[in-house]
Formats: sequence, C-alpha cells, structure tokens
Amino acid sequence: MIGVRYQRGVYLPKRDLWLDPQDAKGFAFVSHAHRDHIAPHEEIVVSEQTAALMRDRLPGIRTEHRLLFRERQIVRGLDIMLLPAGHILGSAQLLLFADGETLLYTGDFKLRRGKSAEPAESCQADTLIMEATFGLPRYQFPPTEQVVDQIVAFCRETIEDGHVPVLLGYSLGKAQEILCSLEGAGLTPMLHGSVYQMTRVYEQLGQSFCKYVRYNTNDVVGKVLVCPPSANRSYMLEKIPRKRVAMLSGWAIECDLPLSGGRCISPFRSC
Amino acid sequence: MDAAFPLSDHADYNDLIRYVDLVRPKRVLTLHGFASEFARDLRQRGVEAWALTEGNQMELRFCVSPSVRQNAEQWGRHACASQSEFATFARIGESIGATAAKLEKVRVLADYLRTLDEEQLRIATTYFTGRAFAQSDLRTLQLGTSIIYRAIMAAAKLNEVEFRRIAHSHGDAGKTAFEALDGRTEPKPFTLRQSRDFLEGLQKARGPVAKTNLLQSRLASLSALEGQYVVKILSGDLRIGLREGLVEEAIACAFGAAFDEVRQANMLLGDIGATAILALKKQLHRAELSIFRPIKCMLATPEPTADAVWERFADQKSSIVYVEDKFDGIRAQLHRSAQRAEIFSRDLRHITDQFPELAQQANKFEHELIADGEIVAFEEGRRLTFFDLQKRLGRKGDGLDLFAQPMADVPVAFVVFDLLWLDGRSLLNVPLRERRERLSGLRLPQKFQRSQLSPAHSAAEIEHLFQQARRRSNEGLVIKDPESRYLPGTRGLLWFKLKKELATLDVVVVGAEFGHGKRNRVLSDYTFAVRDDATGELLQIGKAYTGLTDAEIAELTEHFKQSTMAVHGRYREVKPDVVLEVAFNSIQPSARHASGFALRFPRIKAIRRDKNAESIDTLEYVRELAGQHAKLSVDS
Repeated sequence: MIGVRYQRGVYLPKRDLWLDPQDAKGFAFVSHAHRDHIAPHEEIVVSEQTAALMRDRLPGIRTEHRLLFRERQIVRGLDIMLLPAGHILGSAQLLLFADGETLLYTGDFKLRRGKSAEPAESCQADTLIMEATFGLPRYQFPPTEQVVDQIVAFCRETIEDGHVPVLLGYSLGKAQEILCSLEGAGLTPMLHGSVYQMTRVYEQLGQSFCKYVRYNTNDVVGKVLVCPPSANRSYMLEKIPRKRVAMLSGWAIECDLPLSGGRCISPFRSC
Repeated sequence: MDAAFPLSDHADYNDLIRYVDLVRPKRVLTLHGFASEFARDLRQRGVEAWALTEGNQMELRFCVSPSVRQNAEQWGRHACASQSEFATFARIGESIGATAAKLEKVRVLADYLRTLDEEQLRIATTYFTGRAFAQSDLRTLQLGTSIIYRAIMAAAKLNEVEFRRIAHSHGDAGKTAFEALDGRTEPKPFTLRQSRDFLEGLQKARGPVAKTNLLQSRLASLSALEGQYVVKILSGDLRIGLREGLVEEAIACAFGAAFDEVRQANMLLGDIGATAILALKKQLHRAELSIFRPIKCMLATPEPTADAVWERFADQKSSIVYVEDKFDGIRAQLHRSAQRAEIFSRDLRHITDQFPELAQQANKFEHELIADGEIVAFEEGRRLTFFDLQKRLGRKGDGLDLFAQPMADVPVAFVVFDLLWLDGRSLLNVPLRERRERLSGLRLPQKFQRSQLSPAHSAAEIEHLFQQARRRSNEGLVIKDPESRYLPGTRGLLWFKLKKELATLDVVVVGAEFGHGKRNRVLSDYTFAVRDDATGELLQIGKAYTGLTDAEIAELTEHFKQSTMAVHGRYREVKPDVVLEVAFNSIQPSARHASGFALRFPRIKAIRRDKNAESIDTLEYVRELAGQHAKLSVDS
C-alpha cells in the first residue's frame, strides 16, 4: 500500500508529496484556501478556484499547477485527478494513481449540498484519507433547509424587535453560504470587511449573491450583519447597543465545554 | 452570544460513514477532530482504519529507544532536536505510554533513572507517580481544569473558537495542550529543577488569576510535548499506564535493590523521590517510621461469615484470635509529641483542623506516640451514627475545596486500637499482642477510648461476638492475629473483617453524567468502579443516581466539573477521587461492565469523604460477595 506519514500535514514519502501541510514545503497539494490549510509553499497543486482565493489570502510568488475537476493529469511525475469536496468554493479532493493502486485524500468535505460550493463527488479508492472532524455519532446535523429557516426567523424576529442581528461565520465559505441562504428572504446583509473581500473574489469566480452592502457603522439598523467569529466582542460590535449575536457552526450542536468551572468562556453559551 | 445554529461545512457522522461506503476503500486513515474515535468505529464495522494523528505521537516515542532508532531514521526528518532536560523526561513518558508491556515500561524508566543525579531523581520519580510534590508533602496545587484550559488557550494565543475545536477534539487536557501549543510557542530549555521551582511558585500563587498567568507564561516557553507533560502533572495523572508499583519496580531495577525493600521504604517515607535516593545510595534500610509522617494503615480482608474467618486461622498454632467491634467512623492516625499533636486520615491527609478538640486532648497523653484508630461520632447517652460524623468531615481548610464545610457541632471520640510508635521507638515489627499490652498501659485523656478486645477460640464465639456488635449498632467485627506485625498499607491474611450481610460496596466514581428532567443541568448520574488488585485497574461495576440530596449533587457537580478528564457529550470521565458507599439488592455476573459483575438496584448510601480511590473495595471482594449471594439464593 502507498506509504503515508503525518507531521503537521499528510506526507507521502515515496512521492515526496505533502497534502495540506501547515508549514511551507517545496511541493504540496492544497485542498482549499482556509487558513489552516495554506502556507507559502514553492509549488502547489490546486483547483482554479482555490488558486484564486489563495492568491488573495496569501499573496506571493509560487508555481501553481491549476487543475480542473475530473481532469486526470501528470504533475511532476504524479498521476493525479481532483474531485470537488463540497466544503467551500474550489475545495478539492485529490485522487492519486500509483503502482496500480489508488489513494483518495478528501481534505475537508461535506456531502450535504451547499449553495456556494461545488457538490462533492466520490470514486472508489484503495486508500482513503479522510477528515473526521465530527467523527462521533452524536454529531448529526439537521437538514440544511431547516437550519436556514431558523436563521432567517432569528434575523426577522431580531429586526422586528428593533435589534440588529449579527451572524458569525468564517469569512471564507461560511459567510458566502449564509449570503446564498438569505437569498429571497427579504433581508439585506451587511458585510464585515474581511467577508466583503472574500465575497468579491467569489463573484469574480462567477458566483452571484443577493444584494448586500459593505459595513457602515451609521446604517446598521434593519440590516443583517455578517462577521467572522473574531469580530465578536470587538470594538465594531461593541458600538452597536441593541444586537443579538448568533454563531453558525457545526459545533453549535454541542452544549458543553470542558472549560466550565465557573464562568463559561464558550461562544455557545446560549445552548 | 444569543444563539447558535448548526450550519456546518463539514460532513456529519452519518455522512462520514456514508462516504466510506461510497469509496469502498481497503484502508482508511483519519484526520482531524475525532480521528481516533471514528477510526475505532470503522474498525468495529470491519473496515481497516487508523487515525493518522496517532502516528504523530509514535514518532515522538520513537526518539527514545535505540532499538527503534532505525525506524525513526526511515521515518525521515523527525529527529529529537530538543536538549531540554524536561523534554527528555516527557519523551520517556511517551515511550512508557507507548508500550502496554509492564516489563518494558519498567526497563525504559529504569534506564532513564540511572542517568539522573540525586535531585533530578527525586523530582522525576515524584512526577512519574503523577504528583507534583511528595505524597507526604501536604501541599496541594488547587488548580482546576478551567485554569489549565484558560492558560493553554492564552499561551497558544488562540481565539475561543479555535481553542474550543481543539479542546473538543480531545477532551483531555494533556492532548489539548499538545495540539494547542504545537508550533505556537517559543521553547526555551527547561530543567527538572526549574520545573520543581515552577510548581512550587504555582502552589504559592494565590487565586485563579495569578495561577493562570504563571502557568500561561510558562507554557508559552515550552515545547508542545513539555507543555503536555506539565499539564499531565497538574492533572494528577500522567495517563501512561504507570502505577506507583511500577515506579517502585523501576527504582529497584535501576539501582539493584529488592522490590520489597523499595516498597517498604516508600510506604514508610511516603516519598517516592526520597526512596529512590536511598535506593541509589544503597541505604533503603535507613527508611524508618517517623513521627508526624503518616503511613498508610494496615487493612483487614473482608470475609462473609464467621466460619470463613475461622478457617483462615485454621493453620494457626495458637488458636486464639483477637476480636474487636468494627466502628462506623473514619480511620485516623494520631501523631503526638510533647510539642504538638496531629491527626491524619487514612489517605494521609492532615485532618487536625477538623477535630481541634481531639488534638487538644491528645496533648494530655504522657508519651510520644503514633496511634491507629477510628474517629466516631460519640456522646454519652446519645446514639450517633456515621451520618452525624459526616457533618464534621472536611478536606482542607480552603474555600476552594468541595469538602470544606462549616464545622457542625457533633461530638466525637477517638477509639484507639493500635500503637505504632512509643517514645522514640517504632513498634511496627512488634507483634500485635505486645502492642496492645503497651496500649493498655497508657493513660488516655478525655475523648480517647481503647477498643474493647475479646479473645475468641472458635467460629461460634466469633459469631456470638458479631451478634453482640450488631446489637451495639456497630458495623461488624475486625478479627486479628495476635502475632501480626503491623504491615502499612497491606490488606493481608492477618486481619479480617466481618460486616453486615451483603451490605454495601465502597466504590469510586469514574464518570458523571448530566441527569434528566430537573437534573438536566447537574451531574447526577454516576458511573462507578471497584479496583482489580491484580492490575490496579479501576473496573466499572455500575451506575447509580439515587440516594443523594440536591445539595450533595450540586456539590459533586461542581467538583466533577473541576475534575473532568474527558468529555463525551453528556458524559464526563472524571478523576477517580470521590468514593461512594453503594447499597444494592444483589450482585450478579454480567458482561455489561468491565468488572464482569452488575449490581441490582444500586443506590448511594453516602459520600465517603474519608476514603479515596485506594481504599475502595476490590474485584476479589465483589467476586466473593457474588459467590456468597448465589449460595444464599440457592439456600433460600
């Protein structure tokens, strides 16, 4: 079987190929453009979309091998193909053909169909390297439509009560998924700077969204604020006196932290 | 935060399983989050699956043993760069944890101990028993899990969401520390001496804020592995499958000493570090009982019937046994010199402050002595029970402690039944007969009593005394060999106890779970275990959720939140430090629990604040009870 090691990233020693290493390497596959999956490598294998997002997030000079999904190619002597992973726009799985064997690396993935990511695809493989972020039976997410309905209801009620709804989600991926979800709900999203920037890149890649505005401190009333989680308790939000803050995350399914012992420092105190 | 919605970009559990079905792989390697747990689930489904991140730990372990160094080279670039003394200690810990074979654990540890100087030896052996300070050292760190987690998060400069994700994926403070700190600290060399000074500073710091700050700044200058081991020591358990007995074996092996001598010395000194140094100097014989250094008490082996007890003495030359009532109180050791008097509990804690009137009266003894006995709730003309005594029990005089409570006005007495030291001389090796003679020669101050000793010559006499003891509302009998030496910490075949019919088991809580209904927010369901003496393991035997008051549950909830070692949804694995006395209707073999037995209708009778995990009932005893009960059922 194809040899596999792990050292802050998956490593295939015989092919000298790194998969999503956290530190800069000579040659690596980058499955998607989230911060914990990118680093200033010299030479990368990526999808078109990830290459574009990565250029924005991590400018610099590097050799990009940009592959289309389902297009089998030889790169640096490696016989490979990318498949969509459904995690965020451009997120890819890597299929490697070597010595009559196949190896599929999922990166981060989801099978539920999102509105802002290519739907995931699968294929048979001998070795499957997969993420198991939510690998406990208790993590079963409700249907997306149901969650979206709840989010929309939360936003409407909050606005009706004269408060500003604030949705916290990662500026890349989650925020755009929220934007798509609010489509047709009669709500106007107002985007935090980092969310705005990523959303513009999505648009350049052909994704369209409902009407949104960029953050303006004097015009928050009646808008739905979309911010990265780091904005919570920031000066920007402190200035809005009447607001209700919601976190959008798979971890919301959890209610308990090993961090209690007096004051709960969890962002999910409400559950 | 006002709301949270589970909108996720990741596959949930069912989709992870579905994906494996779609790909039909020959082998699955898992990453991130619950990688190990998910791999285990897949293996149970018949799919070969392994967590890749476990391999990461393996590499660290591979750095230690020369026999596997070749492997490490094959693995490429992961050399052991750090020269830090504490890093070496941590890597030894990893390689001990990497093997399940006890001999191998002992060998690795012994090899390491041989390389240390005296001071390093004292520190490292203490850490390997999961303690920051020697057992006989009465200092405690007062460091809850929340302080540890906050310090890790701050040292790694992580935001709450990132940290929460890491903490969640492990649920274990040590592993969380490793992943959180990895690559986010600036390691500086850290010696064992510095680590000891650091722990002392942490102990002296007052208040959670000061402790958090100290810990945070230290973690920020350690490697991830070092940080993990500091956290393990703070948690009181290295979790590398190393019992104190194995550390004793390693000391014996490292310095060519007899295991029994090491064990005996450690027992007398209550200090594995000092024991190791004596072993190094070939001076184990110098370990002596000493006044004001408590030792573990000698224990009695439970027997179900008077006949069974008598059979134990069948081969005895003298056919006399000493019988005394078994009191329903707490075992205590009095150390008294002309200058002062101190009382210790059976787990060697200092409890003088809980019983100031006893300490005061103890000053009136006319000798320097160490007495073994039982503190009972007692007043002339009034019937008091263990329940009354419980109101008096507190752990330390510190407000942070679960067991600290205002003292209730319950009168107590100290019933002395053994004398271990008299006027500068240890009596441990003197037969019980002679120890009792000396005890009867002492004049006792008020609030001190001698246990009534009755000789017995047959099973019938024992049974008769048992009935009398029961009429006096005592728990039962303790039956002792008059020739027995005092063997600290030993439950041997020299002392036996006869208790109420299938009465109760003393068990330790290993898991706590949120209850249902109005107990939704408190940890009210307790999973508990007995000890397998052969391996030292705690084996689950059941679960109980009735018998405690709301106030007691609230108190235990606070305690278990602090002592949580791992979180699995509503269930928390907790540090085994709360002992419950559990009553039940019957006991049967069962595959449901690791112990192989299950209790029918278990209910909690009392929180045994006077006991710790070492003094709980054993699997052996459970086995006996089950056999006994089966017999009773057949008979009736």
